[in-house]
Amino acid sequence: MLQLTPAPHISSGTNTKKIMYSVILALTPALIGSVYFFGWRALFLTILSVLSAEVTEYLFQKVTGRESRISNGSAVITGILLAFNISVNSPWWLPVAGSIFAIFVAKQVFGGLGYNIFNPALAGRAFLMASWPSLMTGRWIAPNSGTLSGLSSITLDGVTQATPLSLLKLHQGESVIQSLNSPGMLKALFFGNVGGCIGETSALLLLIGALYLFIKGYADWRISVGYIGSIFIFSGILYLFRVSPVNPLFHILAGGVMLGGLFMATDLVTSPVTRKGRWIFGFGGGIICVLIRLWGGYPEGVSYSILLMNMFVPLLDRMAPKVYGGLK
Amino acid sequence: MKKRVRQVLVLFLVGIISPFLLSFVYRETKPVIERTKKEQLNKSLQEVFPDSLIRFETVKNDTLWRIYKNDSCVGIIYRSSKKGYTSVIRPIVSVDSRGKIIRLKIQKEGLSETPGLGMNVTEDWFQEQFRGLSEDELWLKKDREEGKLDAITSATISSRAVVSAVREGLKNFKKYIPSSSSTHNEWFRNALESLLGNSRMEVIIQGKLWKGGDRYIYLSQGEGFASMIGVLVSIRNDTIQEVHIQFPEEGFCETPGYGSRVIDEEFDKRFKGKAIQDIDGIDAISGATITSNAVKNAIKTGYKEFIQGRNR
Amino acid sequence: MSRTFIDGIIKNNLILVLAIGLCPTLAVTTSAYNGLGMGLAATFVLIFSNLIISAFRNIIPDNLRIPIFIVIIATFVTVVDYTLKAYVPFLSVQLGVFVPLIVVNCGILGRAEGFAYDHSPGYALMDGLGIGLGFTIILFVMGTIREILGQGIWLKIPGMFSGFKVFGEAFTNSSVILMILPPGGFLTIALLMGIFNLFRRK
Repeated sequence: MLQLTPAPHISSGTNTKKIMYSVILALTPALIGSVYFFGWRALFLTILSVLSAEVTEYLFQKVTGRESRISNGSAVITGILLAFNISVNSPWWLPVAGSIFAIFVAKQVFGGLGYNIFNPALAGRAFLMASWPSLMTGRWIAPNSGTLSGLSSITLDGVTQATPLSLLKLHQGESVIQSLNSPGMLKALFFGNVGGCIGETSALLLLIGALYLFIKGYADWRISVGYIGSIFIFSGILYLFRVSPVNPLFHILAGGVMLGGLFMATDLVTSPVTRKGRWIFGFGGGIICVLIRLWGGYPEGVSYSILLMNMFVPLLDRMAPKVYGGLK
Repeated sequence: MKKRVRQVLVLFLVGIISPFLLSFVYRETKPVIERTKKEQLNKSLQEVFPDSLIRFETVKNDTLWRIYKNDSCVGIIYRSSKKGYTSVIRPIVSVDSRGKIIRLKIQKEGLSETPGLGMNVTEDWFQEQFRGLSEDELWLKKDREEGKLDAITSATISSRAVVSAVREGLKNFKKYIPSSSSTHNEWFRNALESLLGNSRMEVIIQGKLWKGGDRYIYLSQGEGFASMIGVLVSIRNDTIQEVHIQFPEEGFCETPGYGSRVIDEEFDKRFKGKAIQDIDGIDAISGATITSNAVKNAIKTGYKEFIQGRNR
Repeated sequence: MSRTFIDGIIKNNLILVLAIGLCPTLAVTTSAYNGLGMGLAATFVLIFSNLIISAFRNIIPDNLRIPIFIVIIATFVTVVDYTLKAYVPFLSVQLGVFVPLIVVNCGILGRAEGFAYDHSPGYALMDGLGIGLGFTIILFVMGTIREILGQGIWLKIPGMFSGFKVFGEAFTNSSVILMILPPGGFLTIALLMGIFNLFRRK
């Protein structure tokens, strides 16, 4: 069964390293998928993001005279996840700026791995969202499956299109809603052949990676099931009452629900340690996500929902584990 | 007891001295504050209708003004408001005598939309789109088919707020626009008489074509930047003798400072002695190409009608 | 006396050390000009309220001192408010409600209560100057950092000067907007406090 340990332990030694490299392995299918859908530039931006995350971590630890821990791979994960959260036609400096913010402000200033309150990659994304909103929300490129376009200008000039979620937010026309609810759309969302961030589009590839982590026990399925499940149930209820125009399957497949729910909410450092806490964590995040999507200003609510729930983690950890849990 | 009295006394003194000081400051600054307010208002009115020859008359305080030029009303300026994403957006809009938008201006100061998104409503490209639109066209392209306006990417709420503020303002205030059609129907009378000079007028087509001596005079219209421009042309043996372009007091309502430079003797002279086929070669007034071309087109189309009319 | 002045800038720095009066600090420092304007307005109020309160400290009854302080401070704040409205209307619009709110700025009341009320006018004046200068410097520095990073320009004066493009056109067009949003204020103030404490500890 799962060996669950409270947060401070995981920053120690080889165990961390092993977990981190497994996570990187689990993200690989989605990375390959992103190159297939969006071309080589997806890989280029991801590498750039990873490099700047690693360099920031190294420099911070060097300057402040801490023991260098860059080989444990946690900054690599932050870099990959951050790159997964931006559009493929972003300028090259966008993932760099995001990674520097993620590592410096959201992680190292709080004390480094194990002490950060917020998921660094999501904090980096929130930073990018607030700083360059037009780059983060307005320039989605249509996937160009299988053509493996080049690194720079080719994809930059590619056809831009609205993501399914921004369509939902902006156009409430009957025909648009019909196309969003169609089986074809759901199929495209499942396999990843839609516009969106680099790593979020293919639910299938993300699920394959996450399944590996669940089996190895490096991520808790309760959080993911709680998160994705609550989005499904909540948006399903709203769909039945005709509040939400699109069906619950659309909600869990579109946007970053899979990426966020499987890889970012389950971040060991920023999620609760108790089972009950994890259920609440996932469930609360799902509800917030649907609320933002349907009534908020942004088309997508995954990143903010997880960041908000991150803030509750210390509180959830305090809930007495005696009554409910196997944890002492 | 003594302590009480002292307390009351001190409070009393503070209560006397401080308002006294304040009333002095208030008296000194009030006229200045009012003057700066007025100056700012005037400045924003000038910005949406930049012409030094005009005069503004307040119809409703802070919301509606009429623009007068040579004592004839050439349009209105209004201010409307609508809740944007995080603040109230209050565009100032100038409208010409045909009810079409001339220009709008959204003040950056005091507006607090999201920087980089909603705040972009203050950008020129967004505001330029409104130029020349009428009430029906004041919709976002994505909201209505007849809409002619692009929203700012990812700032639909702010864009929509501006568009509906402008549209609703126009709907409310268009009744204050002077109806140009009635007053300017016969705008050309004076000009016609001066073009005819001493020769006897002979009407060939009512309100369209006249004959005086060896000259024909025809009336034509071209679509300019913000209004229809009327042109009177006197012609002899297919050579243009004189051109009269409608004056502002006759209903001409082009962009002040640009299009209005077309009504200038120097421009009229460029046509003198030219044959119809040479018109295209005449230089336009720089910065007012559209208005200049409108005049040229008016002369050319009018000429075609004149040929048909003469041969009848 | 000069000691009081220097202390006011560094040892008793309103923002970095005492950490009071943070509300206008976070709110108006979106540009260097705003920060400077706010700092100078508060300094004016601080100097005069300190001076008056110190001069009349012997006749102000102890149990009524707070309301009297507030009335005195409010008087000077209103003077500043009207003056700004009349002569620098753009600045007045930008600072908005934060000028009237100087009345309840705990920095000013704090100095009146904590210093001016038991020191002679000379010292109170020096304290007002020092504290005011320290406050103004920090507001200006914060405004500078936030304006340069957040808008890509420096020292923009609305209606007069469009500002220096410190890092060039390209940066101005894609500046870090976060820095002029509220989180930018918190980040900047945290950064300044951190750096300040680093040097003070040495």
